[in-house]
Amino acid sequence: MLLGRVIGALWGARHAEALNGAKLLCVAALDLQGQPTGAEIVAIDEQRAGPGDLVLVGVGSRVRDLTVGPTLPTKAVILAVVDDYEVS
Amino acid sequence: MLLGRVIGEVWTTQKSPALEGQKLVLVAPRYSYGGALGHDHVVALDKLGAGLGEEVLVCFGAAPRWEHGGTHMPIEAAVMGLVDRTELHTDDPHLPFGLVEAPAHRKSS
Repeated sequence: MLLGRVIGALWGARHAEALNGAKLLCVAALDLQGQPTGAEIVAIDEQRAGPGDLVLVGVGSRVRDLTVGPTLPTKAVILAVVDDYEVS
Repeated sequence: MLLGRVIGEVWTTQKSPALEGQKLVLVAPRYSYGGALGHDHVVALDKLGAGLGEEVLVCFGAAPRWEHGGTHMPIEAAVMGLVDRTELHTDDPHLPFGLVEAPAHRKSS
């Protein structure tokens, strides 16, 4: 699970049928200083995250199965909207 | 499996219901398999009560899911051990935050 920042939403008029109704967000992975690492990932969101939100992203087929269901063709899921984190 | 140091904690309100009441810690990898992680941190579920600055073992994949709440926990990383002591066969002070090579006498000839 990694920390990321939502940098935008993604829409596709033509998409796989299994993606009907799914909300897709672009998430930039962050390093510990809160700076983007350059890596970006598109993740399914069920936590009502929006652009600018700090989020926790889980990646993996089982993580997807257990959150948004096994039929969505994605492996990245937003698991939580992060209120705060502390690095010392 | 990864050896790392707990460097922080993550707090969330809006989250997947299965993560309710769970503690999440930020772990900076100390020894990892080269670039396998490719990141300077990992967020892991912690049920062992790891403290700030403590060395921990983090496991990935299905094993931590089984360990913590059966199969319904949507996590892929968890603290699975608190490290008491690490013995490293090197004098290089810079090695601990990089790739650890097998000691010469253990390398296959």
